Formats: sequence, C-alpha cells, structure tokens
Amino acid sequence: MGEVVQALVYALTVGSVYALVALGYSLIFSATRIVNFAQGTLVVFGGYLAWWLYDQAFDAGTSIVWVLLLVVVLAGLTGVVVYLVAVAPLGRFDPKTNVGWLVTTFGAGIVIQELVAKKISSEGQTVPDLVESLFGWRGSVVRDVAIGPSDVVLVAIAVLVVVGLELLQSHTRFGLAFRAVAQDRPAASLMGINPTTMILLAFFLAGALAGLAGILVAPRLGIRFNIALNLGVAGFVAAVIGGLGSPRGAIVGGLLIGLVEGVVGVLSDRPDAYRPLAVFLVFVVILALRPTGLFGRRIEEKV
Amino acid sequence: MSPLLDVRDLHAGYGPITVLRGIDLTVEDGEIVVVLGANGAGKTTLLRALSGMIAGKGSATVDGNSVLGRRPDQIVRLGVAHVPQGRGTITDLTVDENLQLGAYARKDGEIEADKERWFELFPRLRERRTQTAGSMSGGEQQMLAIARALMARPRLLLLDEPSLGLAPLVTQEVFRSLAQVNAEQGTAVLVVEQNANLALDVGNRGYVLETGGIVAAGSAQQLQQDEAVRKAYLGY
Ligand SMILES: Nc1ncnc2c1ncn2[C@@H]1O[C@H](COP(=O)(O)OP(=O)(O)OP(=O)(O)O)[C@@H](O)[C@H]1O
Ligand SMILES: [Mg+2]
Repeated sequence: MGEVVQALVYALTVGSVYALVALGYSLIFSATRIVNFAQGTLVVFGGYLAWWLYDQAFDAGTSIVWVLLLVVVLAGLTGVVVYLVAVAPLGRFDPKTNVGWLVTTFGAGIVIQELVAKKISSEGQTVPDLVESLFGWRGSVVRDVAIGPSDVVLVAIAVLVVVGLELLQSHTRFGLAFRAVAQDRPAASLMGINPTTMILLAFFLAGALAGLAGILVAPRLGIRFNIALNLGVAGFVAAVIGGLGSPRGAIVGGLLIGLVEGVVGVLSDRPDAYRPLAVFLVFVVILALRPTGLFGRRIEEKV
Repeated sequence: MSPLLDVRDLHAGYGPITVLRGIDLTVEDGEIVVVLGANGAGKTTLLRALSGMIAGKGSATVDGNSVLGRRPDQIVRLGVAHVPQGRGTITDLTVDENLQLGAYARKDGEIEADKERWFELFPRLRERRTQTAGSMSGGEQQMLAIARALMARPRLLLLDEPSLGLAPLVTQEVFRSLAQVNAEQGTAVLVVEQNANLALDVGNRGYVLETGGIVAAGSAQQLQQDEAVRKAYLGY
C-alpha cells in the first residue's frame, strides 16, 4: 500500500513538471500553430542558470527567491530570443505545409544546450530546495510515504499557474485578445489587436514556465542534459493528450503521464524500459478516441 | 476640405498577381458609398488593401494619414473598421466577448454604454449575448460582425457584402440598420455589394469596379438610371 501511495506522490510531482512544460507548448501553439521543440532544453537551461546564479555568481547567503525570480525572467527572455532567432526570420508561412520551424526550434535547443555546457557547466548539478531554504521543512514521512518539499511546491505551483492562466484567458481584456489571436489571426488584427504582441507574450510565458520548472525540479531530479529530451517529449505528449491550447488540458495531460509512469514503476521491475511504451500506448489510445485531445477543440482553418 | 478617405492610383494584389490597377475613389465624412462589381472584380481586394490586410501601392489616406504600409491594428486606430467577407468574428467567443474585443483599441469608459446601444439596434444580439458567435445563424452573425466593428467607434466602416448568404428580409433589416447608424452617428460607410438595388437605395454615391479598375462613378440615382449599370448589376 505504502508503495502505491509513494508512486502516486511521484506521479503528482513528475506530472506537475510535465504540466508546466506542456503549458509552454500549448501557449506557443495557440499563438502560432507551431511547436517549439526547444522547450525541454529551456527547462534544463533554467536549472543550470539557477545553479550558476546560486552557487557561483551570487554571494553566499543570497536568498533563493531572488534566484528564482531572475531565472524565470531570464528564461522567459530566452524564449523570446528563440522566437526572434528561430521563428520570426521564417517570415509569413503556413505552419502545416512549411515545417522549417521544426528544424529551427530544435536547432535553437541544441545551441542553448551547447552554450550552457561551454559557459555554465556540463556536469550534473543541483540547487537547494525552495521550501526547505525558506521554511526549513525537509520533508516528512507519513505512514511510510515520504513527501519532500519539492513534491508539494511543484504540485501547488502547477495548479496555481493553470488556474491563473485560465482566469487570465477568460476574465481579462488581454486574455480575450490572446484567445482571439489563437483562433483567428486576421479577424483579431481587424479588431485592433497586434498579433505579434501576443506571440511574443506566448514565447515569454513559455520560457518563464520552463525556467520555473527547471529550478523546481532540480532539487528533486538533479539537473543534467539528458533529462531535456525526456521532459521535452513527455511535456509534448501531455500537451497533445490534454489538447494543445488548453491550460487545464495541460495539467490533466501532465498528471496522466506522471500517473502512467508511476504505475509502471510499481508494476514493473524494469520501469525505465517500459515507461515510454506505456506512455506511448496511452497517447495512441486517447488520440484514437479524441483526436483533439481531452480538452482540445477542433481548429478551424480560415483562408 | 479633403475627403475622409482619399484613394489615388491604388495598386494591390497577391504576390505576383496584380488585381487593382490604379483605383481613384473618395468617401466624404458621413457619406455612404457603394462599390459594385462582378465576382472577381477586385472588391474584396480593395477593402483588404484599405484595412492593411494586404500591401498596396499608390496612395490611400484617412484624414490625411496614409494607411498603406500600416498594420491592420494600427489602421483600426485611425478610425477604420473592416467587416470582411465571411464576417470576421471569433466563432468560439461569445457575442459579449466579440463586442468587447471590438472596442479593444478604445480607452474610454463608455464601452458598456455602446454595447447597449447596439443591442437596441440588434435586439437579437442581446438575447444571445452569452452564446458563441459560431452557434448563431448567418444573419445574426452578420449583425454581430457589424456591431463588433461599430464598437470601435469608427469614422469609416468598410463592409464586404453584408448581404451574402442572408434572406432578403434580413438583408433589408441590415441595410436599414446601416442607414440608421449612418444618420445617427455620422459614420461614413464604404460598402461592397452584389445586391446593388438595396445598396444604392441607402447609398449617396457609387462606383463600378471591373477587372481591377473603376469604369463608372456617380450619384446613387445616376447609377440606378444608367443603362449599362442596370443591365449588369440591377438585373432589369
Ligand atoms: N488570396 C488570393 N491569392 C491570389 N489571388 C487572389 C486571392 N484572393 C483573390 N484573388 C484574386 O483576385 C481577384 C479579385 O478577387 P476579389 O476577392 O477581390 O474579388 P471580389 O470582387 O471580391 O469578388 P466576389 O464578388 O466573388 O467576392 C480574383 O481574380 C481572385 O482570383
Ligand atoms: Mg469579395
């Protein structure tokens, strides 16, 4: 029993990281109809940046909160740079027939990774836990189930971000404008909305969320380059399962993937071998039943 | 006094294809001007060039400000609202939300009051204010599209075939509403129509567009009496 609950805790935590990554994909897809394949690398970038700032750049004793804020902003700006360097130069194109963005965003991810390896570190690193440093809580064991500070923070932040984004989209002028651009760019621009503003915002938010995921996941999983691909793929699968474009879909998708991985961890003695297979199966089944994902809408193409 | 909209020698098209070959056209403040023309004449292209959806060469000014080279969202701020062919509302958003976005470029506090005004004019929109635009009938969507554009408080309204797909009675209703808005608010209207009779009934002046050029122009009465125009566009 304890083992199963422990797997659930893992599922929630890892699933929340996937949700944060998935939200990034979702926002960018909404605004541009492209998928930013640098998203997974941005998480790792955020993690390394946090380590570098905390361990190397700042004086000892600087609060981790400053590091967090700085990482979120810098990762957001890096997201904008990815847009300006890898997407904007492609000009006006139909994202469905012209897939240059696939190569350029993936390439941007590789460049970021190489830069981090050269300038920051190529070793595995970690950063102190946010809650632990702030409140001194190092985790508890409740009936044989260990709950760490990262677990709590990750789940809480993922839920907060999703609720925040949903409220923003349904209750603010800016959120409404974002949805208008997502659905019908020409019509939105005739309403006086500048689509480029919304696209830049989407890339900034996606980068910021990746940075947030990076700094939060670092204490739990450690930060290494080889988790970029895994996070990138799992986050993408989560976004598609939940329905690209839907914040609540991103969190449901993320938690679902986390859960599937957790269940495999309990059932199998070789979980690393079977996890991708199980995730892929769930992916295929859900898309077969609902091609637009759980919360997705069919996207109408207007000529 | 110079006209509100002043178009001179306007060329526009799609990539290598030139559609408009030197258009001269004016709309005065408070005027309703009709553009007639067969399918493919370039009517939609003309409105698109004026609202910044496609590039144009030559000159086109609103109140002395050039619209050429500006983005659509900037042209909205010059006081031009375009209801494109195919309506230009956001189908997944509600009637209320679409109207709200229509006023996106405005900063004043009278947005709710304006909404009420257009609900008075189009009562059916009030009944359906929480319904998504895509779930409404064609006529209701057209009313929403016009109300959405009016929410910007434009000085010039560009309308692309408002009667398209509407029943004759609904079309009449739409044109009556347009005439009312024009009379009450002094909003100038440049309307493209195949339904020439109705349009010329409410319009002050008109132009006939053929394969990218203006071939006739005059007052609404002159055009209604013109032999060639009658044969080609009025059907009698
Ligand atoms: N996106 C486009 N790309 C290339 N050519 C186009 C495009 N849109 C229109 N055209 C061409 O431009 C010409 C004028 O089209 P336009 O849509 O302006 O005609 P219209 O007068 O509005 O016709 P209709 O009454 O059928 O709406 C046509 O020959 C059309 O084929
Ligand atoms: Mg047309």
